[in-house]
Amino acid sequence: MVRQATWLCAILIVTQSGALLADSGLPNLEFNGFGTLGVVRSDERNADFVAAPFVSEGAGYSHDWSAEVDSRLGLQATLRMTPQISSVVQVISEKRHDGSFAPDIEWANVQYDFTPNLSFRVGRMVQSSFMSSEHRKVNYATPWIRPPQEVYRLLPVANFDGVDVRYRYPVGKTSNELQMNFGGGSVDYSTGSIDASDSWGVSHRTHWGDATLFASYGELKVSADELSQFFDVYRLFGLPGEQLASRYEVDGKRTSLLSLGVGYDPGSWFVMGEWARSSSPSLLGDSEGAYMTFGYRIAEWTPYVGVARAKVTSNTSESGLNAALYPSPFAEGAQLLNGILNELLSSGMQQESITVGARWDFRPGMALTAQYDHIDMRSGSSGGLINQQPEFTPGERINLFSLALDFVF
Amino acid sequence: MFKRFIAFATSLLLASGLSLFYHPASAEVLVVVSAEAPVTRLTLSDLRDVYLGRRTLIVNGVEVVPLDLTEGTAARSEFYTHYTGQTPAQIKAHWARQIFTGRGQPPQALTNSLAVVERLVSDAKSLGYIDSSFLDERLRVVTIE
Repeated sequence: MVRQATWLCAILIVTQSGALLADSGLPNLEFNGFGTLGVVRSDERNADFVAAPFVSEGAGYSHDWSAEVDSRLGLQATLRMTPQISSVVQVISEKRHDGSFAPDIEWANVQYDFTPNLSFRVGRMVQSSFMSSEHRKVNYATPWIRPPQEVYRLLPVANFDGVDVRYRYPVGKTSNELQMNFGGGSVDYSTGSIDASDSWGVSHRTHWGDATLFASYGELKVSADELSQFFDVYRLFGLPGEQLASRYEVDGKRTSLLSLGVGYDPGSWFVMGEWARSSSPSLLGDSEGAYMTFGYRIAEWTPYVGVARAKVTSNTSESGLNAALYPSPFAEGAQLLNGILNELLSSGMQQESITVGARWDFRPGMALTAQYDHIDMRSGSSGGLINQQPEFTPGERINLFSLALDFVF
Repeated sequence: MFKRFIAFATSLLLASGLSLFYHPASAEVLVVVSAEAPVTRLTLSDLRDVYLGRRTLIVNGVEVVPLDLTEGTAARSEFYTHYTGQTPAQIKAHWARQIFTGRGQPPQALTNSLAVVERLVSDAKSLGYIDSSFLDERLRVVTIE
């Protein structure tokens, strides 16, 4: 409902603004684009390393060298209609859950500036949950080949349809930006979709000389049909089943996300770090992630190193239904359900990683980056790898080598 | 003859000595406005925020509009290196973050200092930077503090 209303509102603003044209040079239309051509090699042959959780395949099991993990193309049209009204549409083509590179709309909104410092947007936006969330797919604009997974994969739903407000205000030598949003979104995967509704978030960013401080808090209601059906089956097992279902059910519960970030960039070197925590009184549980990256700039070269860590702070196993209490075939059914529940609980990302890389800005708007990652997964954790084969052992160490050409135009 | 040689040698020495302390013309970039404009001085952080699109500066009720030079010009590299501490590649990455999140486009870029001078003279709202050799009496140098 909220989504239909936001689209209607966006269309109304666009169609009504035509009458307001005044300033010369307006309307003004700009086209921009960005992209990455990248390859990745993983030494784990029995599962696929992926950069986004719901794609169909990646590097390791499916491909020795995968060009599908990081490659993407984004195209954007920015239309400024009046001094107050502008609109952005951004389409991204990248690997999807169905294996295709079918383009999808990442941004499509209309912005109204009440004053140069107070603006309102309606349509499709990306939540500013983390310091680099909104531009996480523009690899040219970030130091790494991909944002540290330990933080950026805490929350899978990224863009949303709704409204947001931004207020910028200077205080002394600082410039500040407060952003608030409300809406809902969904992410498709191979056998269904994950929906987020009633989601809201507040983020604040301060630039103070060479330093940046960031904080964000948000809540959302996550639901997935497949999970609802799974817990409906649990409910067939009487009171113990009801209790487990209400303990772990995702539907109707609120998930919260808190994150803090700092950056310091005097020019010849930089350091940035983030810490984030997601909490849900459900199967999704509580997780924490953090990273720190340090880089040094020598002419066109930027070598960098980073460390990161992710852990699940809630329980990752559950004794579940006591199968001995049920007659066959319910006993086998109970064991099957317990097995799936434990698999889901233990699937959270738990790992430590070290990243070493170098970026070469060899010409304006183009950079070549090589990156090595060593990921040490905690026992029992599969670290976000997909297409796990029977021979795959969770909790091992993997090494990744990635090479990417990033560009903007 | 001997005197001329001494003079020549002295000037050579002076020139080479000076160049140790003084970085020549390519380094000289001035922040300027029209002599009619209300702006006389700016803090370094205001200048930086205006050029990076982080702040809208309003002086005497009029919005100050920054003008840029096209990428690859020496004065542009010098301006950003000196006043923001960032290389052209870093500035490019900064604008990629703004553009692809719908937060704005970089300042309008003109091809050379002469074009900036002409624009400033005809538009008192504009703020620009030029190679110092293009400075004339129709412009005012903005003090950056």
